[in-house]
Amino acid sequence: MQENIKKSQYDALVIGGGIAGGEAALNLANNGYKVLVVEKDLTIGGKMILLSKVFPTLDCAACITTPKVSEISRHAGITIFTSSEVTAVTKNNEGRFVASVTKRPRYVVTEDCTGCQLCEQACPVNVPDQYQLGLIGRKAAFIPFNIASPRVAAIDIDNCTLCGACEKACPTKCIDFTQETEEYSIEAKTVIVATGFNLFDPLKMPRYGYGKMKNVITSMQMERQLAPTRPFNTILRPGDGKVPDKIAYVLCTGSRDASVGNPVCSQICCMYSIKQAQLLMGALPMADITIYYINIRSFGKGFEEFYEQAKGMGVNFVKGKIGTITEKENGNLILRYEDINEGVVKEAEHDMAVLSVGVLPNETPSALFKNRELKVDAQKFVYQPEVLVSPARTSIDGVFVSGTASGPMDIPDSILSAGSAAAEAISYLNSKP
Amino acid sequence: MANPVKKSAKILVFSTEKISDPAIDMAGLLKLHYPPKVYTIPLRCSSGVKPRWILHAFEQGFDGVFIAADGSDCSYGESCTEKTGHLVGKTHELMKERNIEPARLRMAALCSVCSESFVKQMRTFNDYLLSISNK
Repeated sequence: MQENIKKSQYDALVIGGGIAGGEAALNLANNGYKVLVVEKDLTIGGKMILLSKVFPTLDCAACITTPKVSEISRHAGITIFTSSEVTAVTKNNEGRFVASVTKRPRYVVTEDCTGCQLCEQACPVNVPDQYQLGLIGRKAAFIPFNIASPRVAAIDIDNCTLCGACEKACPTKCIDFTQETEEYSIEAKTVIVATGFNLFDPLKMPRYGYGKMKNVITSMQMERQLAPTRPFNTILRPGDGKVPDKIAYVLCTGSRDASVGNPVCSQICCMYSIKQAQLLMGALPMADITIYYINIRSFGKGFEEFYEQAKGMGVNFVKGKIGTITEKENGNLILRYEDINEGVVKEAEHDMAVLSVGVLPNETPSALFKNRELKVDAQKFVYQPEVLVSPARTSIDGVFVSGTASGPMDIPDSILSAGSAAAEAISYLNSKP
Repeated sequence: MANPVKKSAKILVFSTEKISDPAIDMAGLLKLHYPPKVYTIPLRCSSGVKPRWILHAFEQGFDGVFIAADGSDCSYGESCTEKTGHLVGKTHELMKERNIEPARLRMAALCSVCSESFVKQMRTFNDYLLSISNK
């Protein structure tokens, strides 16, 4: 095995190809540094490329992300490894970082694929589409989504039946089932951790019925239903395909809740729920939308105005945390909650409930560093020892953090954080001979 | 003129592979209706279109040519819109010399999810082309 490890050198290794990683890589590359971006998914763009619009400006997320992603993809100074993971990073005696990177096979020769989708049409296998959050299906030979980068097919080998239909259909003969996992040894002078966050999994809160009751969905599933590249081209409840007319938002699902081990505020759920409510008002003018909240935290620039605007549009805000959700025979849901203003327990019927899931740390980066400790904070986000004067610094000299790897934040803050990480990394690179 | 009345104009679209082409692709995926004789050629950047290609399209019987540009979002350079505008201007001159109506060449910026806007552009362009060819 040893002789199969490919070696290469870069100025900077960026772990994660979402907007925080991509922006940091772009800043470094625009300053003449050679950058490697390692992304575990089939495409770069992270969570933002899957969103519909962004708060509080209601700009189209795809329209902002696509040009950015294409700039990252075609920058001469940036190399991108998709379907790849950093498995270990050590700092050697010269102060350089040596990273082991595993590149999983895509079973498609990226350079030859034209994205024609004939393999998709030929493939007989149907599985849930993770890029549409399981709302619809996809094939085992598939292009992740329309604005993916690279927009190249991939074979989902776990679900593939090896029938060969895609190989026969492919006009450029770019499907190659003989591809194997590749191991790389990467030497870099600095490392940027941009591993992002995980969304809270509502299966951990059985009282909300997610996974059992079909009309309880997560906010990310609703986000997909509202996006321009949406699965149904309208808003439907998954249970029976009915257009919903009474939609409830359950704020603080998995945030500010010690019972699920996440006592902190996720900082984005209030605003994205208000944003979705406004978009729903546009999509379904007759629908009633109720947001059940503990506190509305509209702390950012233009956030309070955005909240007031939603109230003005007729979104109903109820101060009360949802206790339980039960399902009626027709698929409608009964939400039981304490109305905090009146001090009484009430029940309300809705035909769809959206769980505004919170932000959890991605716990992979701390385990990657072998001979130095990448410290994490009490919530297991990357620890920032000098959060006020040097927010991108970590407990390891030469390793910087970008975006939500250091804690919950919204898109503008992630971009700011990426700029900060790139600036700190450049000044570190300049200080080393 | 014994020409039969056209129902749909033949339109050639130059799109950009990363930005406007996904939107055009999605218009089809969403089953949006636009004239049936719209043909698309994706390119890297709209400023790479050559005036002689456009003239060639008219010679080959296309009624109109539409350049779906990136607006300010092109990842190949800041000056892409300016350059594309310049080549459109130059082509307009060449078209006048050949007695081709300059309005048969149009350009607009489309984002990666502007499917609706693409359909609207195609419909209005189609209506215009039919109005001048069926005169």
